Amino acid sequence: MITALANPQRFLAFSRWAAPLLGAAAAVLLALGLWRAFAVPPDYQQGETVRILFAHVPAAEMSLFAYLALAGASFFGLVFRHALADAAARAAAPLGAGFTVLALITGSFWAKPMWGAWWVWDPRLTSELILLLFYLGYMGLQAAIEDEAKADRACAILALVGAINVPIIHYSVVWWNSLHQGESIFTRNGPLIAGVYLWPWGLMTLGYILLFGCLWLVRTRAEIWRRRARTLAMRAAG
Amino acid sequence: MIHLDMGRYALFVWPVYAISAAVLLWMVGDSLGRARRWRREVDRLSGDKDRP
Repeated sequence: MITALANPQRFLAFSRWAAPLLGAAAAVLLALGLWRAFAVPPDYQQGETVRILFAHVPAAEMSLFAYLALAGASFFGLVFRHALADAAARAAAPLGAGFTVLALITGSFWAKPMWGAWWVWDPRLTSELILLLFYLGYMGLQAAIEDEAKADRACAILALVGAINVPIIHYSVVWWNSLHQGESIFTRNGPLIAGVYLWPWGLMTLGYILLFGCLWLVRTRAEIWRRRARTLAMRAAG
Repeated sequence: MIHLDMGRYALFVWPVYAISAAVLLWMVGDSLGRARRWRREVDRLSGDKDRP
């Protein structure tokens, strides 16, 4: 399927129906997730702040997921020199940055009442902040290099270097003595949180994933057209 | 039943959902706006209206 979609024309035809479909499914899941987020009882320890986690955890998960998409597309662009992969990588970066900003801000709103501080230089928080810097660096580098082919190559290398940070973020709560709680859903012994909280988390996470999928397709389409417009403008200019 | 009374945590819970909605809506608007703008630009430059 990936090989078939590597053709920009085929990708445009596919994404034309896939993007609205993913967007509609995301809207339904987010609405259901929002409803469940405010229907569950308050946590016996965290009280009402547990509801913050239904917005924070999916955003944090998506910040990593989007970076994996960015790094994967960058790898294909760098190794196979495929323009569509470069376009997909460029399209993923602002979305990933948006989810990372959300994860950091919503996390701070949870941390203040629970930890007594908006921010602590905890390994999980610090590595997540570094992730944001990689996203911003990627977009900055892209804007700074005028030659698009060179920019794509330099950005792909930066994205692959930054991929080292993804397992660091994930395992930071295991490797270091972290204030941030450890893995509480995908553990060997099953989820450590009450079943009633799994539904809003699951619905919101799936909604965020589908929304990212929809917007990634839309932005990749935009990037294909931007490159095409650039080529047409250069051709017209002689 | 929906719980909307966040008690003493209202100042922490509601801004999270407001900020999340604002960022997600910005992502949607910016993505759709970009796609529309560049597609129009391609149409303008090529004079072709029958693109997928």
